[in-house]
Amino acid sequence: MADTHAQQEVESITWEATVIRKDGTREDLGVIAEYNRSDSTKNKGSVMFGDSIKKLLRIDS
Amino acid sequence: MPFGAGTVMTNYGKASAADRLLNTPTRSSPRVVGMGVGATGAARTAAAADVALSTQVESRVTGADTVVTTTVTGDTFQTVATITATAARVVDEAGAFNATGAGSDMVVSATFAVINLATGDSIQFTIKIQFT
Repeated sequence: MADTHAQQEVESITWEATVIRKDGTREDLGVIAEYNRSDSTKNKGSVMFGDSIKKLLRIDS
Repeated sequence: MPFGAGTVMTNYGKASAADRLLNTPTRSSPRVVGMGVGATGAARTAAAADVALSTQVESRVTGADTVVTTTVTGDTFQTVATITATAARVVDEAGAFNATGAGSDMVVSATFAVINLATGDSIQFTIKIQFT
């Protein structure tokens, strides 16, 4: 029987930001918020999950 | 910074992802970006508050949405939008929405370290959602 455990998941959500000052100066802030399912070391700060996202991302604890 | 930076897909976002798989989706792309101030950790953990910014400042902006590649070809949704401050702002929250009008329709939420803006300054947000 074929693998029945295949699933689609959100692998990562990444927010990057660049501040553009009124005079045109650009300040690249890089990644300001991130969730990464496979590499928690990339997560920015403490990611807060509600019950729905825990189910979606299959986080049990 | 009021609390740790983080990002989540909301309940609304979960439903929107399913809807967007329909032959004729009823919801638009989450390419619209809004930013906010005064985010609180409590607000982000409450399902009822997961679909709106704590206090939105400035109008939402329709971003340029594309599909890009992170790992597997075409596995990532991306939207890029620039929002300009009409007054001094202490921005610590943003969201990706699928409509420009005010409403509770945030697909992805983010909180982050304060970004201080003066009048006329802008933030260009790039949001990526990768699927595996």
